[in-house]
Amino acid sequence: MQLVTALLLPLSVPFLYLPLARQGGTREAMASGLGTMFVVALLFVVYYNLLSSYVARRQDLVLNRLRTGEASDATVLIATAVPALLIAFVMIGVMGAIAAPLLDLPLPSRPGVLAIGLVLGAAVMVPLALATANMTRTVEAAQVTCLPLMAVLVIGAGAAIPLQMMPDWFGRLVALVPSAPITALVRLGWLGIDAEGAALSTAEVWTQTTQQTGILLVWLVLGILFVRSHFRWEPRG
Amino acid sequence: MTATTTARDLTTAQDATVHGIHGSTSGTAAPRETVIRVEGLERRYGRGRDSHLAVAGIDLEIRRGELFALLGTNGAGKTSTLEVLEGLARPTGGTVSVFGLDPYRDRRHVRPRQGLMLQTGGFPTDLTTAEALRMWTSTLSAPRPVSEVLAQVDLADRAWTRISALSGGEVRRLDLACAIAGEPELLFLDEPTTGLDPESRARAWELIRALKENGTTIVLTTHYLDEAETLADELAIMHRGRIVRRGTVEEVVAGHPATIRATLPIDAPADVPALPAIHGSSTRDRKGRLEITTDRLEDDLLALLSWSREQGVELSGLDARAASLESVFLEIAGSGLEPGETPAA
Repeated sequence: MQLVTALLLPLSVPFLYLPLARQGGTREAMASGLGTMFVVALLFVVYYNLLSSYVARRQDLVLNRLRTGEASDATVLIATAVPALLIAFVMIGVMGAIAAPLLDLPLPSRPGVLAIGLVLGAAVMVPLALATANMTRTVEAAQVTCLPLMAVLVIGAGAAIPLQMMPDWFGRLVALVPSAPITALVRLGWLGIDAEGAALSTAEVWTQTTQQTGILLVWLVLGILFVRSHFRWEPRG
Repeated sequence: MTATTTARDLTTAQDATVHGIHGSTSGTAAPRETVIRVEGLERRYGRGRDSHLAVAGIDLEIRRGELFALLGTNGAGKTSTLEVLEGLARPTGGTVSVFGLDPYRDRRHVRPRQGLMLQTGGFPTDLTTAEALRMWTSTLSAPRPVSEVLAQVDLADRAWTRISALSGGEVRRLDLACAIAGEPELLFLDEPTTGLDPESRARAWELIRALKENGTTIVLTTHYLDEAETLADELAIMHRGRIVRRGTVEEVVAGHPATIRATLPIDAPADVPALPAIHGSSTRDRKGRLEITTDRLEDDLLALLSWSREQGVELSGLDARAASLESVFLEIAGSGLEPGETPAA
C-alpha cells in the first residue's frame, strides 16, 4: 500500500491542476501551485513519515541500541532519514516531469535554484521531525503532535491563505516559516518570478535566492543545534 | 551460505576461539594499567527543587583484564553510573576517563574499543538472528564473522529464526553477541543473565570467564549475587547513589558474621534444656526457630551439635553458613529488597 501511494500520488497530483490550467490559470499560478505541492509532499513523505519512524524506533529501543555501537549519533539519525528523503525526491521529480508538459509549463529556467530549494527544504524537515519527536510519546501521538507544524508550514507555503490577503506584518512573519522559502525558491528557479507573479531581473532573482536560502539555512542550523543538545534517545519511563 | 556449512564453520570457529583463550597469558603479577578512572562522579536528573541526585559522588578505578561487578539495590544508581562510563550520558559532576579519554566527547575513539550490552533488546523483530547480527557488524570497524559470534553465544541453530520468535534468553544472548562482535578490549554487561535459564546462565558464565581470560576488561552489573561471587575480581556495592562497600568478595565479606539456623522441637518447649554457651548471639522464636549470629562459626557449631547430642534434642533444618555476599547485601539493602530479587543460593 505504501508503494501504491508513493507511486499514485505523484502521478495523479498534476492532473488535479489540469482543470485550473484549462480555465486559464496562469503559468505563474501553476508554478506556485506546484511549489505548494512539493512542500506538501515534503511534509508528508519526509516530515510526518520521519516523525513516526523516529518515535517508533525510539519506542522499540532501536535508536538506543544503535547508539551503543560505533555509529555516531548523526549517522544513526541521518541513516533513518535517507529512505524518506529518496522517496520524496523521486516523487517530486515525477510530479515535476508530468506537470511541465501537462500544465504547459516551460522547463525550469534556473534548475540550480530549484534544486537548492528542494534539497534544503527536505533537509530542514529532518531536524523538525526530530524536534517534534521529542514531544511525541507514542506513534499514535504523532498523529496529533505533527499538526501544529504542518498547519504553520501549509500556511507558509501559501496553500491555506493567499499571501496577498494577509496583513503586511503577518505576511512578513509567514515569509520566515521554513516552507515559504521552499515555495519561493521553486518559483524563482522555475519561472524567475516573485509571489505576485512579476518577472524579476537576473540580479533580483539572485538577491532573492540568497535571502530565501539564508532563511532555510538558519532553520537548518537552529534545528541541528537543538537536536544535538536536546534529542531524546530513550522512551520516557 | 547454507545451514550445514554454517554449522561446520561455527564449530571450527568456536574451537579456534577456545584455543586463542587458552593460549593467552592472564597473569596477575604486574600492576596493570587503569582502563577506567572515575573521580567524584555525580549524576543529577531534573533541575531545581524536583531534581534527583542519582549518583552522589563516586570514585572507581578499574584495571585492564579485571572483571568488575557493580551491585546495588534497585534505584541505587548502577545504570546511571554505567551510562556515564559507557559514554551514553554526560556526568553532572566529576570526571570519567576510559582509556585516558572522555567517553562522551571522544566517543568516536573510545567506542571501537568497547562493547556494550544494555538491558534492552532494541532489535528489529522482523529480522532473523543472523540478519540482525550482520546489520550490527556492518556498523563496526573490525567485526568478527557473524557465524563465529553466533556460535560463541550458542545461537548457531537459531541463525535463521526471526527475532520475534526467539525466547527472552535467546534475545539476551543475541545482545551479548552484538556486544562482543567487535572484539572489544572493554566490555560492559548490564545484567547479562537476567531471564536466562540455569543452563544458559552457566554457559554465559563460561563465556564471560573465557573473555576475561582472553584479557577483556569487563564491567558487569547483576542482580544475582552468586554471579558476582563467581565471576568478579573486584566489586562495589552501591546504595542510594554512593558506593558503600568495595573490594574483592573476601574483603567485602570479611568482618561479617556467619549464621547458624535450626529448628528445635516445639512439642515440648518446657523440656528443652538451656542452650550451650556460644560466642555469638542467638535468638529463638515461639515456633522453635533458632538463629545464631557469630564470628566463630566452627566453635559455635560444634557447641550446638555437642549440646544437641548430649541433650537428645533433634535439630531439624540445620543450616550453617559463612558470611556471604548475599548477607552483606541484604544488610545494606535493609528491608528494601523484593523477595523475587533475592537470588537462590
